[in-house]
Amino acid sequence: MNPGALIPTPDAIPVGWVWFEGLNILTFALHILMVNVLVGGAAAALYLRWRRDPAAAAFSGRLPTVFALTVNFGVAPLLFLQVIYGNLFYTSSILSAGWWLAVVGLLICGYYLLYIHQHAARRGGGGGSLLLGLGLILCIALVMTSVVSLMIRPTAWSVGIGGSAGAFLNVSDPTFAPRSLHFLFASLAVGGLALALYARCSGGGANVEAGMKAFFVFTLVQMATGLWWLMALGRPVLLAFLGDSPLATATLLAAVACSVGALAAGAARKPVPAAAWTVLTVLAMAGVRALARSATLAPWFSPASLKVTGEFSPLVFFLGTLAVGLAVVAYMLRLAFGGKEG
Amino acid sequence: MQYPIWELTTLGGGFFIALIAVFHVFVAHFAVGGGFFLPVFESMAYKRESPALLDYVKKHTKFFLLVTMVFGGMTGVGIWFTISVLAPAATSTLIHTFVFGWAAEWVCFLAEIVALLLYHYRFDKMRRRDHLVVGWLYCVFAWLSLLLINGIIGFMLTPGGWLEGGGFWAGFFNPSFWPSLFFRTSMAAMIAGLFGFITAHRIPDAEAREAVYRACVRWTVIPVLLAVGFGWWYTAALPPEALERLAVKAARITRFYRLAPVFAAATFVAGAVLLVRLPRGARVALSAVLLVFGFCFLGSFEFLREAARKPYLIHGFMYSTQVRTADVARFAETGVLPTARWVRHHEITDANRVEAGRELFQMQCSPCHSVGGPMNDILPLTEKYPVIGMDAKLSGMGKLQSMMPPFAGNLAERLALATYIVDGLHGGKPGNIPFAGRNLPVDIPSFDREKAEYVLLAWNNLGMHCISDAYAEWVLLPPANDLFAQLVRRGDKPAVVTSGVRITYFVEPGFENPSKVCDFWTHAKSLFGAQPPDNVGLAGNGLKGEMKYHEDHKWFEAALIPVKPYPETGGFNPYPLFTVQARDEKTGELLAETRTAAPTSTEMGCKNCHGGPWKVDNLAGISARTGRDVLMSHDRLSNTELAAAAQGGAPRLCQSCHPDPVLGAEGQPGLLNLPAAIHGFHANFLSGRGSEACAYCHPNRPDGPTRCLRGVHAQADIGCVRCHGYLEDHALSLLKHEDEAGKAGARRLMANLSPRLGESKEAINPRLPWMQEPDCATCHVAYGVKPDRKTSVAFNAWTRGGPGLYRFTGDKLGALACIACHNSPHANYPTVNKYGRNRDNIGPMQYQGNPRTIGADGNCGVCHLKEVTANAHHTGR
Repeated sequence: MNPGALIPTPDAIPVGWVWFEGLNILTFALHILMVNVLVGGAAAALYLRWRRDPAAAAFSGRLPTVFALTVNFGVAPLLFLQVIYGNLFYTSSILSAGWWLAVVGLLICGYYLLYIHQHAARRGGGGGSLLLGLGLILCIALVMTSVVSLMIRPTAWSVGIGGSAGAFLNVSDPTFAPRSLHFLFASLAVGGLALALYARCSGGGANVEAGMKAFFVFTLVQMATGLWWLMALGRPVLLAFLGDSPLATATLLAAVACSVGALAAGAARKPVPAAAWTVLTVLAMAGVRALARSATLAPWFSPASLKVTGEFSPLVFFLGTLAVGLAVVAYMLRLAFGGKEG
Repeated sequence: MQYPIWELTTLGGGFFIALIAVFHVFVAHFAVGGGFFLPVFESMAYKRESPALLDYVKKHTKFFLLVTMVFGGMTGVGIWFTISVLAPAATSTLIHTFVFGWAAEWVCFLAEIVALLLYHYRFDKMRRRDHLVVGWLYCVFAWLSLLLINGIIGFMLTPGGWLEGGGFWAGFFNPSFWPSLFFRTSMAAMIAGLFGFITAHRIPDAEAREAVYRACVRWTVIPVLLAVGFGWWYTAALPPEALERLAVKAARITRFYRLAPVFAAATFVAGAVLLVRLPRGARVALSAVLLVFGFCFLGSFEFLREAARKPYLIHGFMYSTQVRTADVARFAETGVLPTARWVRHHEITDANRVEAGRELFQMQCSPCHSVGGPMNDILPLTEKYPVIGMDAKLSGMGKLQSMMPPFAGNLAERLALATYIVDGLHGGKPGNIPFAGRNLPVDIPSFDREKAEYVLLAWNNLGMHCISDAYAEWVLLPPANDLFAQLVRRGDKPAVVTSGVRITYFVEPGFENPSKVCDFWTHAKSLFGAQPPDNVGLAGNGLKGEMKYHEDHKWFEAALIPVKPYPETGGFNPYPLFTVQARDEKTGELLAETRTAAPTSTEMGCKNCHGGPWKVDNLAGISARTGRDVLMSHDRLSNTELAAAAQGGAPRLCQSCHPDPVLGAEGQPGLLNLPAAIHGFHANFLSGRGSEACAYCHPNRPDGPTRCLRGVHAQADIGCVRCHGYLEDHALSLLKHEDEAGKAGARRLMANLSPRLGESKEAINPRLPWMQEPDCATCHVAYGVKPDRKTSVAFNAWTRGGPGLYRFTGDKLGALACIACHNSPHANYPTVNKYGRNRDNIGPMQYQGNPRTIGADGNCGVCHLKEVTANAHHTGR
């Protein structure tokens, strides 16, 4: 079977693919940061609760808000991904359709569980709902990892010929385990960082230390899983990051450099610089991820081959809306936190 | 055809989309309406300086956040996920066309979320004015998100200028954009009011509670009125064919169409009732009922919008099967499987037909139909069909049934799909059993060529009289065979005897009492408005009697003899024999005797598509089940109530509405005549076929129990279409006549028919059924000139009217009828009959010992006692 023969014909795009790849990288970086905060924050909240820390309820009370923003920031990269890789993405989501649709139920349940926890935590309860909520969120993450990794693995698609049961999970992909662990440990690291930042804003204390310690340790571990992921990539992809592609190699090096900066800030127990380095690292890693995807798909598909209709006015409309939207968000935040209280 | 298919059976047919969408849409409108509701009520609380009212707004905000942001937001993502796995091609079109519209909506969502979270978490922690500003900003962005999604949803139903290459903006600001936006805004306000009631009863302060109730009444009833008005505007923006689908075509949808205003009225009334200071419990209950009414109002609108869009996902661009309209013609030529990416079977063979059909089912049926599930279950819809009928049904999709997309694929693929549905899903249906024939004895009367003074020729005029015998349901052709006879006095100058004789007839034993084998006489009054005695036909003739002389044609005839093809001893015999005798009027002396078959068959293949069994011996007859299904189909497609009438004991004659020259029925003059209606309708389902299409309905299956076409043309392998045209040609000739008569229904039936023996519809000559038939002279241009038996086509040259019909024409001498010597159409001598080779050849066998035309091969001596030197019958004197 020629996997390339299974790839659906893509639709034309309105402007050059680089726009969408760029927007995808940017919004995915924001999304995955939110995911890290959510998963790591939930884990940190469980830790606080286990230690019967009085800050537990207040810290975990922020999680529903993080959840809402996480989902919102997930919409944008998924949208831009579908524009340039839609033909691949729809295919992989159909092959995993049952799991994929289960995500909707998991989202609703996970979100409500966090609210239930928020409500119960004020009375010292809600540990079970938080644990269950975290479990559901991790399930969502696994399905997401499966679908986006299956998307770039047409060699595994033959399972859908003649009809898909919608039950396929891409666990046989050599990158699946390191991808998942890389995400998990990154989340735990960012969760520690979030706890440290929260504690710092709340007047410091032991949680800054505990949070930064966790950040440092888990960052180290996730760097190891990152290396595992890199080694699990196909040889041409690996070589692209090892010098064959200057862009890929430079991006990876930049990401690694940023992560070293984050690690150093973690070792120095400095949450704000650590956060800054982490944002830069995630942004660079999102670029690495996009380059790895592109290199993996190179034998079969390149978004550069997409037909462009050249319709720019909707792009201008979007950019204008984005500018106004962000300005209004900033204005509202200023009103809410910068003005006088009622 | 591009994407893999998620194989859903029970939960197929859009179950998941319906499940998520129905709730999401309601909550999403609440999210928008609440954007207005919250700041308005907050302002009201400030204005009245009412802490109780402010407390209500605060609590309602939490309720609002938990409902809209969690459930509404997540189900919104869910719809996106769902359509991407169930309709990826259409989703791809929506994403690629409107990516920046979606992206702008994402920005609105972001602003909404931030605003609502701030509004909720910073309640009482901000300056009142600032808090209100945040509330109003939520309102603005929520409404903008409605505006954006409204443009994209509206695009799917009314793509407008996008279809002509207008791009993003033409698709976004489509024809239904504005009315839909105003309608949805009204609905959003109404739903906000409905949810306001739900939380209002928990306000402990009575004055504040009443204030909220009164305000919520305004929020409910005024938007309902606005929604009805905007809904009216919206329907005006729909494509005319979509509106027709809603209003007329499909009974189930039409019900919803009528229900929408009912739910609107119910919402209005129940909302107004809440002004009354009812007991608290009653108000709570009524609030819940009101919420259900509102849900049903919006739900019925959304259902109608979806229904109006059928059979498209994107109107005029992509069918619900995800096949682009532009690709259908190509797939009909090349087939869809060869280029389908995700199928196992790219070519159909006998061995893989069912399995290939399964893949076609997944591609083209499962998008809308479940198998045994709650959504458009395919099983009851196809239960009645054998493969022939299922194939015909698929063939007709997208033509008269405007809710269904056309089948995309070639003939082999269509048959594979039909086979899978019938054999794979239903476990198969017994087909028609082959009938080899029966060699019944034929007692040919004697004829003494030396001494006989008379030759008696007898015949039936049509070659086959078809009967529709589901009398308790309907009838189009009653038992009514016509027999004719001419008596020739032999001599040097033979003469046709026209006086001084009595010509009588009687049927062979076993056929004398048709009332014992059918219920025609039970329903005759309802069907024909007349009640002849049992075993007597509608013209007063029974199974034996005397023929009446007809001066114009110099023949004797007995009209409408109610002979049935069911012998009392059981079974089926469509060729009962009649004995015809000529006696001296004065002395009663038997002058001559002959026999002839009265061909009469109930092998009408309605069951092939309408289901049910054959009525008799698994061979022939229209069963009650079949007959009822015909009525139900008619009711469904033409908004009649014929099934109910039949159920109530009042079956109808088809020609009581549809005019028909064969019965002289005027019917309702504005309606298509019956042959045009029947052939025109069924041709839409049986296009692209040969003579076998005729035999699906008429009794001429090669392996069937009648084999109507049994004369000389059949022996020369000249089938139905050489004279009548292919079914499309045949139907078009009938419909064109009606179209030219200004009958509106003709064009609808003609729209999807393409002529096959004519270059265009314009080239097809119109004709009045029964009165204008194929003309023998089209091929038989002159006596002695043989037509080319392989290429001659008689189609499209019609006789000028009744007198020109073969069955009414006579020889050049004005003496003998052509049919007297050549026999009936479809059974011209020599014939081969399935019930004994010479059952139709009695005349020539009796008089000349061979089955050929009377007088052929120099057998002039049958009548002429002196040598004949010229052929005056054909060439004249």
